[in-house]
Amino acid sequence: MNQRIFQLIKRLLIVIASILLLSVIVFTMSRLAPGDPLIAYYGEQAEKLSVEEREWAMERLGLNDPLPQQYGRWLKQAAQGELGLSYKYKQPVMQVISARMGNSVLLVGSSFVLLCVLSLLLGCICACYEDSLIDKLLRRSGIVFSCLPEFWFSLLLILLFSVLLPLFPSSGAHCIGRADSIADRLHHLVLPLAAVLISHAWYYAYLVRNKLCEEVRAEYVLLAKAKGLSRLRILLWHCLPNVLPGYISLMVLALPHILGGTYVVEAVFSYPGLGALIYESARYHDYNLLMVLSLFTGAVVIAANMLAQALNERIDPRTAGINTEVSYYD
Amino acid sequence: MQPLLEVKNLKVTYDSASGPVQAVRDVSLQLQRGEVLALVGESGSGKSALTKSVMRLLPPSAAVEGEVLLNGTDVLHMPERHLRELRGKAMSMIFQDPLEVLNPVLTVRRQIAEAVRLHDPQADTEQRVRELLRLVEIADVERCAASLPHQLSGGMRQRVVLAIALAAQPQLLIADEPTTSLDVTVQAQILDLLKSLQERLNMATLLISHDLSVVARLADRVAVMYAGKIVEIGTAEEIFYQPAHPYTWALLRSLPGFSADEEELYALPGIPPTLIDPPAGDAFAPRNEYALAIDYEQMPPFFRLSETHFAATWLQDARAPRITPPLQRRCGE
Repeated sequence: MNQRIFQLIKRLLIVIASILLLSVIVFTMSRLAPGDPLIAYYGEQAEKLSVEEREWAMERLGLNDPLPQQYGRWLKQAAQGELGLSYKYKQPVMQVISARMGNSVLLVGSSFVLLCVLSLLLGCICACYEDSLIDKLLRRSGIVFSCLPEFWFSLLLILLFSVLLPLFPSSGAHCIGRADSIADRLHHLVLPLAAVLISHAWYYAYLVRNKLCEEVRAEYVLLAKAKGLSRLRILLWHCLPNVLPGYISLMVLALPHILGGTYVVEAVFSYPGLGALIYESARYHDYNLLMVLSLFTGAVVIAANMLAQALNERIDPRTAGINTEVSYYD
Repeated sequence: MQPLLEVKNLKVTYDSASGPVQAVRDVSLQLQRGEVLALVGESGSGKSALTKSVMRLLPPSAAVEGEVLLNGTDVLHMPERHLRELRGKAMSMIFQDPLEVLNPVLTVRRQIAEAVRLHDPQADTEQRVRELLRLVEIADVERCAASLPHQLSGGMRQRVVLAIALAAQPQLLIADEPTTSLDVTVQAQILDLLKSLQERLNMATLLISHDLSVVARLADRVAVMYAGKIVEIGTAEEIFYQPAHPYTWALLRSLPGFSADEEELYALPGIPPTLIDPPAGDAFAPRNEYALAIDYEQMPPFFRLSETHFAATWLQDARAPRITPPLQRRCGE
């Protein structure tokens, strides 16, 4: 028991250290990047400011101090729960984020669930008809789709399904004034979702397929066949349970990957989620907003990694603590 | 009477990196209902390939020629659907390594129940699982049924595999080296169990082993295989007391009970030939101290020694010199 508490504390310290390190990196990089933070604050007006006015504004926002001092101040305030104002929106950072959080959760959540289902399904189909035409076709096309950059593929989707064939809207999360309509939200979700799914699904489907193809050659499949089971049934009832634990921890690890993917897609589709926001805040030097969003994303990635690790240790019945206590008997 | 299993001119060829491997070269045999036929031979002699082709468990890369008739129906060319009905119901199989063939993440109960339900959807599965576990003489039925394979000992696992094989009361049981991976004491228990079940259920059994002493306990008839061919086949008495093929002599000589008064136990020198390009004559000739010149050139036919006893060796030819088998029997007389 003591050891488990020790483990827990150790992991917690690692998380805190990683997030602190991340904050230093993002802080430094954002300030080193060329550009004018005042554009975020004053918009177009920033160009018309006099030298004195600029000086005064920079001084007031604390942007003239040396970097370590700025970072120290940010850290102190953040520790007190004061994350600052967004330069662009002139609102507390958390308020800006929470307004968009829902949209992102919807996109990321639905992508993740659909991706799990889709990759499992594709993997099973390919493994069941290994080396058949359908397997080869899926493998070839999957490689092509997963190699296309997401932003380009998103643009292609917009061109095809919003411009040439106006079936779906090209941007936004809902039409103006229809924020409560589920159908309208889903309608806006189709293209971004398709972009995320098509560019990510194959990678995971391929892993499932290969794992299953390996599993189909295991000795226990011989006994299952000798019982008289069909190939499909063996695949689903015997091989899949052996693959699933690895798959679950893989998908948890995939979460940050998908999160990154949705950020790009959100930016292209101007989908008002965290991804579009993080892109905007980096572009306009909206420092406070950028910090919080980066750290939030980082925290999600770290949490997913740790969850996957914990799952890996537990999920296999052969390594689980409860089962090994039952000793051999004859 | 129609035999239960009839194998006619079976040939199995695998593709390997260095060319096609002829694992089984023209094997024919028959098995009557309720009879135990043992296939004996070194590893690589083709016994496993032979039994796996009867069950059609070979990978698609293996080319199988010839005929396998089960109750007169051709197994090799029947559609997959039909084959699935035969597997488990008409013929079942138990394997060398019971840990490998049991699914590691499914409980024993699920794995047996599946076999029961597949061939008899109306059965009281729970009841039948308990019956089967009792049939294979497992003491703590409930505990065993709830276990995962890795929690059981080797002997228990083989009993579970046997329970699965018996789930639909097959007419033919194929036992592919069922005791090879087990401890010696457990081996004896499993063999006794196999024997009693075989007699009780009157189930024809094809027993595969590299160990003649295993075979002696169970077999009615014995077929000795070498390099993908049957070299001698006969009743157990004939094989043990009037062996005719030098390879059978070598196998018997390497058993403690049969070896002549030698200081050390006899070990057959040399290694089996590769089956990629098998020699023209008797494949055993290079290791055979009694080999005749013709053995290197021409494959010996089967010489009929009795109604049931056949041996493929030129030593049985009328022109061949008479040789006394280098055996001294000290057991069973």
